[in-house]
Amino acid sequence: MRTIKRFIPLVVSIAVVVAVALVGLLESAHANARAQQIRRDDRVSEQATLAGLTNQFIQFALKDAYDFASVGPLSLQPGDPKDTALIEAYVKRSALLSYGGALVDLSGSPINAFVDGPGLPVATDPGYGPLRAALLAGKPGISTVMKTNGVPVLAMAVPVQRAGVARAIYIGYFRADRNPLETYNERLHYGKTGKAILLDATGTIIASTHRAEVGTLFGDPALRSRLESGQKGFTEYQDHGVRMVASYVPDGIGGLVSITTQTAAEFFGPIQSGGLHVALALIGLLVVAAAALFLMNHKRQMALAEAYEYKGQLLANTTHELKTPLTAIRGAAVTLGMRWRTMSAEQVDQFLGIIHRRCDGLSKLIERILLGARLEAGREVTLNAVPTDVLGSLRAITSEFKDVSPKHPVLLAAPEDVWVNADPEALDQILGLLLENAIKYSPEGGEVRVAAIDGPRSVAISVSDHGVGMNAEDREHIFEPYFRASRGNANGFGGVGLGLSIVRHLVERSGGAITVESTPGQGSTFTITLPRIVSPMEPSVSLEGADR
Amino acid sequence: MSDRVLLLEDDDDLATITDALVSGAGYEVVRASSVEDAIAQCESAQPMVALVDLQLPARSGWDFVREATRWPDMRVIVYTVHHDEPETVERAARLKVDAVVGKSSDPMRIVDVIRSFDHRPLRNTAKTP
Repeated sequence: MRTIKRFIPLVVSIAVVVAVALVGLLESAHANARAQQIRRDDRVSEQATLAGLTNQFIQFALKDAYDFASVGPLSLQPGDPKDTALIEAYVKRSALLSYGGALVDLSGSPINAFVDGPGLPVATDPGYGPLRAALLAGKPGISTVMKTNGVPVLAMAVPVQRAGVARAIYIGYFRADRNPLETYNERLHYGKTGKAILLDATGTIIASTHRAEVGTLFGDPALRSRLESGQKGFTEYQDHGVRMVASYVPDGIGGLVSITTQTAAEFFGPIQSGGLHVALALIGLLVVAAAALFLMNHKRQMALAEAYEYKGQLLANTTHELKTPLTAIRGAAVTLGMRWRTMSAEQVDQFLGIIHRRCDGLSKLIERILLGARLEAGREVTLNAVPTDVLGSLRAITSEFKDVSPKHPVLLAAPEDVWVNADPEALDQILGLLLENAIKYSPEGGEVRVAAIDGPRSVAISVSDHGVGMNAEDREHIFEPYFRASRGNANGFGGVGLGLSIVRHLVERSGGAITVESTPGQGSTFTITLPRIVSPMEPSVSLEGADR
Repeated sequence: MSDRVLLLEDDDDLATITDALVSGAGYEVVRASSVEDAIAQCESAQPMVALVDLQLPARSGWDFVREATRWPDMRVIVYTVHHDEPETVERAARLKVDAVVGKSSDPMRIVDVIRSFDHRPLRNTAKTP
């Protein structure tokens, strides 16, 4: 159950991330669709605007041409000065700046012309081809092949009819540094596949940025009928197997339709593929984020769970170690309070002794916990190393333990006149903790041996017991703070797991080292080595010189 | 039924104190510091009540609780500093322990609980605080 609870935040996190990813994906798809729609609408609106502005020139020019066709009366006789004067008058009042105008007969031969500029070639220019085609078909036409002084000139033509029959064609010349459709195309940024086209009412291309198409019918009949609907819009069609999009803007002049075409890929491409990439990148990012979150959360949860378990165990151990002496102190005090009048002096002493001893033990335990906390926080303990008599220190501590724990024989073997450079209080604490540890894990009556061996540069002090011992895994961690070997936890030995970590720290701070040998069921031997000095007159030994 | 109380406790100081309190209430205390000792005492002394500490160096006090079913007339009291931990209470209930008393609570509490299991008439020697 605890394991399941541990994973609840993780599952919730993943669910939130997945939900966010889905919402993001849906929003992205929705935004993409909306962007495409906006883009289509924008394209059409943009084209409508630009067609209105750019094609204005062409449309007005054609309108003028139509207007001229109805001015009459034209004699339509070649060289008739009346016709020339009429053309001149019309060109001059034309809404647009015109270079001139000309009349051509049904065969394409010139009838009359008024040219407001030098040297305009007339009917012999190949650019008349489309105009002739228009003439013969009775439809308007446009061409940009006329040039004068290197400046392109736009020629636009409409049939001149008499009694419903085309008799001639009027050609108007207009300034056009560039084909307005090309300019229009460029302004739309239509890229490689974009085209601008002008259709007449029959669907014939009368102008195009691709001149080769001029004079041909645009698209299929179904498409042309849609273009004739009189509404602006866009439509998709196939052109030699390529999916195309045509945006069209009809206008009311002579049934003309302004069209732009582009492949569907180019028309929709920038938004569609960009949106897709953004969506894919977002999904990838979310997947990576979800995976990272999962791992981080899982590791954090595991670490937290371990920390909580560890903390709980630590607290339980510490609480027990504090409660036990307090219980003894309280029990002794209560018993004394109730029964001291009926107790013998020995009994009173016994109970006072319990209180005294347990208070000392409690005080030591608290000091040990505080010291452990200091060491764990990385705060150093200040030691004052002085020449210290090993045998004297060992005698004092073993004697103390013989009194405290009479059930465990403590045997001492150490040479005389052996000195180490150590803090006496720290050494006392080291030896006391090692002895306490040996006694704790020894059976009742179990012997504890303390021995010192004098070496050339260091002194080795060992504390051996015949207790429960420990396995290799426990040996690896036995000097870590708060570590309780399996022997301690399983067999109900008290303690908070600080003693040996304190010992190691104090030994190492004294320039020495500590090792342990142990066999489960047979006992353990802890050995410390400390820097030796020859006599009390040689107080300092460098740490580098010490055997470690 | 005897007026003996078995005290299974490895801490000498606590054993001395509890012994004084319980014997002061008129009971004969027989002491044991290990599960093996306690079983031997049960066989020889046939105590009325067993006070059982849980945390012992070798076999746990729970081991004795399981063994104690061999003496169905003997009341078993778990006497521990872990009396308020749910695990202790649950385990005690599962093993049909008669009572769980905290060592750190009022020291006379253990005497009251022992008395609640003693259905013999009160004796004049019994001392109450």
